[in-house]
Amino acid sequence: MKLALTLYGIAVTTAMYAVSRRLSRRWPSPFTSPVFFTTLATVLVLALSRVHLSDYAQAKEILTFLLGPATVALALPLYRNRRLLTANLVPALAGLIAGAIGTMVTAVALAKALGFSRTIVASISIKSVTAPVAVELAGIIQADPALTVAFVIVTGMVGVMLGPWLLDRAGIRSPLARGLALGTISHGQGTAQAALESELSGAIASIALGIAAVFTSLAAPRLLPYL
Amino acid sequence: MFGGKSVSEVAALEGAAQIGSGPASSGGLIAPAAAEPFVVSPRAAPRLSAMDCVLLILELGGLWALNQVGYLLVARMHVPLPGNVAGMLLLFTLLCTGVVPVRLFERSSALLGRHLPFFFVPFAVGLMDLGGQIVSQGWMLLLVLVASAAVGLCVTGWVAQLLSRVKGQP
Repeated sequence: MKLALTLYGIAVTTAMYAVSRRLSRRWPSPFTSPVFFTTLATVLVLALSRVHLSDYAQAKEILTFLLGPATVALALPLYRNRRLLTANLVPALAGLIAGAIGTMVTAVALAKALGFSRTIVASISIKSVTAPVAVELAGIIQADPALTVAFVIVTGMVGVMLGPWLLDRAGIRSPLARGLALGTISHGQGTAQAALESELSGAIASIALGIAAVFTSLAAPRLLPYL
Repeated sequence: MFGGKSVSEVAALEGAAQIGSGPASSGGLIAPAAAEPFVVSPRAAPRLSAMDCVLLILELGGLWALNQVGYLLVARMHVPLPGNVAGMLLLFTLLCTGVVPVRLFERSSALLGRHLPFFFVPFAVGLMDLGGQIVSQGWMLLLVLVASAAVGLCVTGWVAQLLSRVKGQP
């Protein structure tokens, strides 16, 4: 029974993912994006077939087996674009660190002011970290992995939909600064957006995504108790 | 060939929609072949031969091993850092020191990058039990997310732009 449920969970998730790939190709939109659509569809199907979250745990374990290797592989874009980083070391690192801390402090302060629980505050503090790192980091800072992923994905969408307009308004025109901002704050989705703006923006965003993940991983557990 | 997928690969992360062809020329600093049009579509995936499959599995095994070493290092040294991040830093070091050539992981990193969203969907499914709470507090949470993203984008952009102007760079 347990095994059957696990296989069912795996089958549903994989099938919904395959569907989402087709949908997002035909009608590209944040709502047909693989994460959004697959999650929603999987939750719906599981709920309708009365499968509980605890029955899905084993399936999750198996499905996320490659998450670690996928994160390790992020070293490749970082390595390929390393010269771009070394050529702009001071502005890039200073901007990234200021932005990563700025967004974390703002998120935590607002969430606390609005009276959210500790778990939600912790989860929202790491919403700018790329999802595969954020779910791991969630375990370290006592955040909820599911909430964290949701916040990460919404942050990615916000960056894509609002980012370019906001950067225009703020007078940020340098491709380096724009790419850095999109990659630091809106991780993978922001990087894709930056790549649309210019090649330089895309490359610096891919670096920013990796370094922001490392920086926030180091900073969040240390900063959070003081915020 | 080496710098091939630098942008397209990451562009595929986290459910990015399709991306049209990229801008034409490449500056000296950006990885060379990044000028190719980057089309993120499952159809772009080449058909794999048996040999490719074997190599792919070996590569994935290598990445898996690095990941394990990452977790081991973190546990041994008692650093509050996710093990997979330690693994990534380890691979980055190996690439920089030339111990591992970048082409060793080309296949697997492209594949994993393309399907990265798949691996965190199962975590998001955990929202199943939190759904009600999220819906009732949705607007306030969205407000926090939008405001903090806006602050982060502006701060990052301003600092980087200001400092690169001081340096006299673009």
